[in-house]
Amino acid sequence: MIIKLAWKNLWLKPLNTILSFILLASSVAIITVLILLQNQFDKKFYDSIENIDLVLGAQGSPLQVLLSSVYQMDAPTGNIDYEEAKKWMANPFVKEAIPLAFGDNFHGYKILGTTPQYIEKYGGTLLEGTMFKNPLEVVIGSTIASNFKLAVGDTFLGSHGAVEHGEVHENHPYRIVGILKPTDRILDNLVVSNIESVWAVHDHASDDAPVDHATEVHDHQDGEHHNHDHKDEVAEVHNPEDGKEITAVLISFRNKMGLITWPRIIAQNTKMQAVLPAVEINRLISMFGVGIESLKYLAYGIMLLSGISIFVILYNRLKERKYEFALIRIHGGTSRQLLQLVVIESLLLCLIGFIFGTIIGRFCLGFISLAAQEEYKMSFNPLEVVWKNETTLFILTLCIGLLSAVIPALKAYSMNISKTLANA
Amino acid sequence: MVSIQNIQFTYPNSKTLVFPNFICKAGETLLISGNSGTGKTTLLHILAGIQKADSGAVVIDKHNIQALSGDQMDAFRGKHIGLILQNSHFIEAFNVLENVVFASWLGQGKELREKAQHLLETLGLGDQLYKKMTALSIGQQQRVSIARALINDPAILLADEPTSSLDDENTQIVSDLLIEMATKFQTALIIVTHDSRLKEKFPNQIVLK
Repeated sequence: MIIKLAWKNLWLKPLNTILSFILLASSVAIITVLILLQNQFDKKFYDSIENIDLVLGAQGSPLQVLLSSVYQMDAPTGNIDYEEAKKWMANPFVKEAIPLAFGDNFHGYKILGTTPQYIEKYGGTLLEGTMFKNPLEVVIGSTIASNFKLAVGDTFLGSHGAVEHGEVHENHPYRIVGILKPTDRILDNLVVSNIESVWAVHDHASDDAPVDHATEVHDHQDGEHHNHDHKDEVAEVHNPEDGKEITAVLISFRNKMGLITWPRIIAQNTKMQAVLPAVEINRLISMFGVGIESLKYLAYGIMLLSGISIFVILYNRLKERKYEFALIRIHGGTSRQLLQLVVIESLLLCLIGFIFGTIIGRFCLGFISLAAQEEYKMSFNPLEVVWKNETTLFILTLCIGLLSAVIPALKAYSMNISKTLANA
Repeated sequence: MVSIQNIQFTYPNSKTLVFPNFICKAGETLLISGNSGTGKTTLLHILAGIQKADSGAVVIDKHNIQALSGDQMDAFRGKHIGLILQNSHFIEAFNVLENVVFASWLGQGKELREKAQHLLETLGLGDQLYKKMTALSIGQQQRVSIARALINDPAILLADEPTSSLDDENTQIVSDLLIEMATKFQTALIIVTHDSRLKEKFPNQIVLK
């Protein structure tokens, strides 16, 4: 009955209650978004560089190399010579080296030339179809499949570069041979083929003739002499990888000495650069961190304001409620019940503020996720619960409620009912 | 039954109030009147256990309430004492029925919804149960006060100036109801008032000087 009274009292002066509620719910919503964003950012960023000790890429911004090659979020700094990269890939220190080649996109989703090891590395498994074997065969991520209602056997055209509306390679349709299960990782937003596909499309960029997948694929695979409709390669005996370029190589070391020595050696002796993902990501996260922390302090400030607002409401209402309190006492209510009543009113307000705040926060994250998906092909899960941080936020919200109620509750507790009734 | 013996009370920097001894049995009525400053409200507060006398005993149902601690007095008051005030104060957030039910919850820890409804119907408020208190007339509000005071079957019903803000017609109605209820529920009824309109209705009277 006390809770019922507390609840009804809250809505007796709805404007005051709504003001406090809005302040509290806003601060909880902001903090919830930041908690979820930070958690999912950290998870996505650190998860993606797991078992990648070093990235070989073209010279330029190391962060750009990392973002473009590991997170598929930025344009590459340039290309590197495949032959030269292969020397490093074959180094005894190297446990695994996965080459990456970018060139095109499909409606903004990157088409990545690599090896099947790339898909294995990110935990991808086929939902249907098979792994790509031949040029222009692709395996697509689950998001792309569902967004464009694509199925195994379908074909599509890629646009040149990373821009969605770039030049379309009309003569080189990609054929879907497999669709990946959802991974909640970058694989969901990628079209993956072998590196030869990227080379094939770009070697033929000026070629008007349509490509026959069945006939073109064979020789590029094994490097044998071939003699088909390549304008600039007619009757030429060569290694098909000669002069070819790739964008980056993801390397994991067998011997971690490579981590220490390679960046310097590669910088001094090659046109490439060696990027250490852990170092770059820590730098990036610390830069993000400043912004996130600033926003958090802003939200805590709003929360403090809401606490003050609750205090002012409860305190101001003490005067007009003194007869209500006296009535409760003369009908057998105890001082403790009066104290409870004031505290419960404050806690109820905070509880509703918290519940609505977390819901609003998740809606906001949903919208942020849609925008991020559109812009960066990166999504966030608004339904995730970060138990530790959100429990702390819940306790903090209740503490605000308790602190706001302390003085009004003690005043109600210690009121002199005889004096109050005598003045009635 | 209620009795008081040798009750004295002193406000700071004031003369000591000395109250006459009396007994009021179950079903009986007693009117306490007197001029301003004679201690009418103080005596009512002492009888209700809201204030403690400096000396003497107030015995309600064989309990000397002067000896009870604060918490014990709160519990005792809820179960054994019904209080009606001059200005009918209510819990604004609750409707008519909830105000009466809340008193039963405070006094007995139970929500006596049916009993509250029955009492309100007896007092002619059966069609006002779910209305806001502010929607009732002053006379009707005073009747809700009576229902609220009676919900816990108190041994003693104390009324502080219950008719002073009412017109003649409502004064008649409320005073008759109080007497009727005291008889019906076998409750000792003590009215503290300076309202001379009530004098002829109460055979037992004490005038404070």
